[in-house]
Formats: sequence, C-alpha cells, structure tokens
Amino acid sequence: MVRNIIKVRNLKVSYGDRTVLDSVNISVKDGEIYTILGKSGSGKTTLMRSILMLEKSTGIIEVMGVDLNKANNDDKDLIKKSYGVMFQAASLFTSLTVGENVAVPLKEGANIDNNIIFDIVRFKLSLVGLDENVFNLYPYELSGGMRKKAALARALVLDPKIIFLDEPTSGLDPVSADDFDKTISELNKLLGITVVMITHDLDSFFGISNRACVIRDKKVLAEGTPYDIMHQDDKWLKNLFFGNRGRKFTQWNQR
Amino acid sequence: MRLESKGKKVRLFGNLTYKVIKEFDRYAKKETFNEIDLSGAELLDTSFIIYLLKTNKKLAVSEKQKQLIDIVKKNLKDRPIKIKKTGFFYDIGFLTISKLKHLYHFLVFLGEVFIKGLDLILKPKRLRFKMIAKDIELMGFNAIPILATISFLIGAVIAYHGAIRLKQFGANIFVVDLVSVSVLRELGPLIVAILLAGRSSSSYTTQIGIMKITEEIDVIKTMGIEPFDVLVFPKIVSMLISVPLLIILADISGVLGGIIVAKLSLGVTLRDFILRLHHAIDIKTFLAGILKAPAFAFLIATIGSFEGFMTQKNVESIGESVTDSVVNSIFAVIIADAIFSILFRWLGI
Repeated sequence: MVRNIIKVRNLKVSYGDRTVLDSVNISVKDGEIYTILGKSGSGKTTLMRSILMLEKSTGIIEVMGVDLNKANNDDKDLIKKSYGVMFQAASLFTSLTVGENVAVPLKEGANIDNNIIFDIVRFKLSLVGLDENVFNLYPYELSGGMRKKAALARALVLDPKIIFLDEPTSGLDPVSADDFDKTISELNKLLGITVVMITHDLDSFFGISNRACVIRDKKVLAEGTPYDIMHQDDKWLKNLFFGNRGRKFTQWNQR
Repeated sequence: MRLESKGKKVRLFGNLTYKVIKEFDRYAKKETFNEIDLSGAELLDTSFIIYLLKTNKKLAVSEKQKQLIDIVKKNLKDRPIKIKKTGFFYDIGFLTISKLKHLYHFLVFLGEVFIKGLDLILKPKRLRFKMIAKDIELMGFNAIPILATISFLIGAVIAYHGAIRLKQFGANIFVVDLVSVSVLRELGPLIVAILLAGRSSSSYTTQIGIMKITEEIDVIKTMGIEPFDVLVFPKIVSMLISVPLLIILADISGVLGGIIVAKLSLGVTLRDFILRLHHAIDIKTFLAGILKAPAFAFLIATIGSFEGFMTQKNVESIGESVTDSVVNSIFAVIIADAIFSILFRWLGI
C-alpha cells in the first residue's frame, strides 16, 4: 500500500465570520498526480494555501507525517523546502532575469559555486522545455506559456517531493496546455514527484491525473479516480462533464 | 552525507542533495580519487548529479540512480551561454546616455502635453471636472494641515532668529519686514512647491506607473480615450488651482507664526504688526510669490506624470521612478525659483 504523503482531516478555514472550508478530508498518495476540482470561489485555492501554510486553519494537515498545525518552525521549514509551488499568475520576480529567478531557491538554500548553480538552472530550464536563450530575459519579455514554464522550473529547482500547481494550464492555448500537461506527467514519472494541482481544464483532469477531489459548498463532495468523480450524482459535475465543454469526454467514458 | 574512502574509490552515503555540494567539493579538491560510488546513497537529487557530472569522475550507481542520471545527461548542454559583463567606462557612458535619453523623453513628453493641451482648449468638454475636483481634494485640500503647520513654524523660526539681532539695534518693529517679505516672496511658494513635489508627484508617478504595469493604460487607449485626458490634464489643472491657493495659505500661516513670536519675544503687538505690514509689503511682494505658482504647479504635475509613463514593466522600476519623480521635481522647482528671482530683479518687481 502506498503511503499518504498529504493527509488532511477536519480542516476548517474561516475569514472572520465567513467559513470558507469546513471539515475537509483529503488524502494524497505518494507519487500520484492529484487534482482539486471545483467551481470558482469554492475554496480550492484556500485548501492549497492551507497546505502551503499561507492560511490559518484548524484541523489536521499532515505532510510526510508531520502535522503542520502542531509542528515547530524548524519542521515547517523542512517541509517548505520539500515543496515546489507555482501560482496561477506564475509570479516570477519581475526585477530578476529568468535564470536568476530559477536560481533564487538554490542561492538561499545552500552555498554553491556560481557555475554549478548556472548548470543546475540550465538543466531545469531544459527539463521544463524552455530554450536556453530565455536565461537572460526578463519575465515581461516572455509569453504567458513560457512564464508558466519558467515558474515551473523555479518550483522544481530543489527537487521537491511535492509540487503544487494552481491552474497550470489556464491562459494557455490548447497546444501549449497539452505540452505543459506532458511536461508535468513526465516529471511525475521521471523524478517521482507528487503533483497536486488545481484545474478547470478537463483535458488535464482526464489526461494526466490519477486521483482527484471535488470541493463543493465548503466541503469535499467526492474523492477518487477521474472515472469515479465523473459518475458522481451532482448537478454541477454533470454540467461540467456533460455540458458543452465536457461533451467530448463522453467518448473517454465509453472507452 | 557520509564518506568512505578506499584507495582511488570513494563511497558516499546518506542524503546527497544540493546542500552537501559545497561540503563534497571541498573534499574533492583535497583528495585524489577517480571513482565515486553512489549506490549506498539514500537520496540523490539532480543538483548533486549535475555537480558530479561536471567533475568528470567515474560513477558507480544503482539501476534507479542510473535512470535519473540519464535524464540529467539528456537535458544537460555543454555549450556555455555568455553572460554580459561591462567595464567601468562602459557603465559611465551608459549612465550618461541614459540620463540624456531621459531628458529627451521628457522634452518629447512636454511637446505632447503642449499639442494635446491645445487640442483640449479647442474642445474643453473633454476636460474631466470630476477627476479634477477629486485630485484637488486629495492633493490640495488634504495637504492643508501639514502645510499650515510647516509654514507656521518656518515663519516663527525666522522671526525668532531675527529677533535676537534686531533687539540689539532696538529695531524690533523690523521683524515684520523680515518675516513678511521672506515668507511672501520666497519661502511660502517654495515650501508649497517642495511639499507637493514630495507628496503629489510621487503619488502621480505610482498611480500611472502601476497602471502601466497592469496594462490599464493600454485598456484606456483601446477604448478610444486619450490617456492624457484622464491621467495628465486633470492633474495639471488640479495643481494649477491648488498651488496658488496653498501659497496664500502658506503666506498667511507663516506671517501668523511671525506675529506670535514677535509678540512673545519682541513685544510687538498685533496692532503694531498689522500697521507696519502695510509699509513692509505691497501687492508686488505678494505677486512675486504667487506668480511662480503656475510654473511650480506645471512642473510638479508633468514630472510626476512623466516619470509614471517612463516606468518599465517590473516592480523595481516603480521604486526608481518614484525616486526620480521626487528628486527631479524638487530639483526643477528650485531651478525654476532661481530663474524667477533673476527675472523679477530685471523686471524690478
């Protein structure tokens, strides 16, 4: 049996009086691609942010056996070092070049010679499928897809155990999105990285994710394989999968 | 990380990650060996592999590690890319040229303001009165408390310093001339200008700079609205209205400071002060101050907006623009003040 790398139990997050998430339970297994689905504003990003320790929450969030709500700062730092995060807007440091952006975690984390850092950065850029020429470019000189890839390279630079991706394919054309999915799936297979991603993109959902959960009305509506999720009896899910945009996946269902 | 050395072979154990590169590098530089055995390692990350591949040593690895190393090898390129390095003289030249370019862009901007301004005068309906009113409130009205305080204190301080000397000659009453002439002609307008150069031009620059980064200015353009109509002219008009009014306030408040100090430390009564004031100043003194207002207002508003438009699409650039905006507008205001002084002397005002 594969162990749970992330285990969330009875998670509750509220902003003042407003509860955003209530008694959420999810389990992410080691080495899988796990998708968080849900309507806009359903609390998907909040769930991810709680696991990333950016949000105050109550309940149990266990990552690699450490309960984040009880852990001391040293343990939390260790967990943070094993995370790689890519936010929705890519959020590259605009005043640094792409190369410098990717090198930031390395320079912060350890005392390494510049030419080795240089090689590591170039390797990561190549790994996510970026051309070397972007090394000296600034983020605003890149297209949206390249910016996302650069952010992915930055998330990968310390060889994280888990990478979190917030809508990795949003704003990309279908070809780039496919390309991006392929990259994620390859990294998952090659390096054994666990991937947790938020997406609305049904191609990513059916194409690469192993398991998923659906957040609905502050709670987890369902958790399981894409096939399980698809056959849930829920109006929003039905609209998602069998509405205009989802139609083509009914074929997938029949396969 | 643990090390075991056997002749020309080194065995590594434990976590081999980016954290121990330096440690191992130190060892590698000291000792001679030609084979590294990684099969005992618990953890091996790509950063460490890259380092090992660069050392050109023979590697003994497990099957799983070999897969990872193959991935790294596949993506690792030998051809180095060049990083631009510049020399001292290049930097000086570059800086000079960029400053000159900056000035050139400012002149272009002034030209644009002039031409679009003429256009606006022909169609005054395009002027956004609501925006002007809002800006006057933010930049003029809200500056009243701080401005009144500063000019009051300046007036008081001048009177106080003058008082010590004037007492020695028994010329107590001339404190009126001292305070009123210096505040009305010079200090009042200058305090207003410097305060607004810090307060308003920085705010204008930030507003326009961030709008440029978030592409809001492009949105305005695509809507068929002239960006200058919304972003520049309301600011210029608002400053043209606020600055003279604030100068009057600074004048009054500065003289008030003088009145109080004159009473307290020189015994000049309010009645004497006012009577003397009629002899000390006339309308020319007041005009010499207030005539500078339009120039100051124009400089503050245009430099503030201009630096905003010069902002590049990165966060650091905002900081640079705001610094430029405040420094340049204060500099410009003081230069303008000097020119006015010479001009007024020629004209005999």
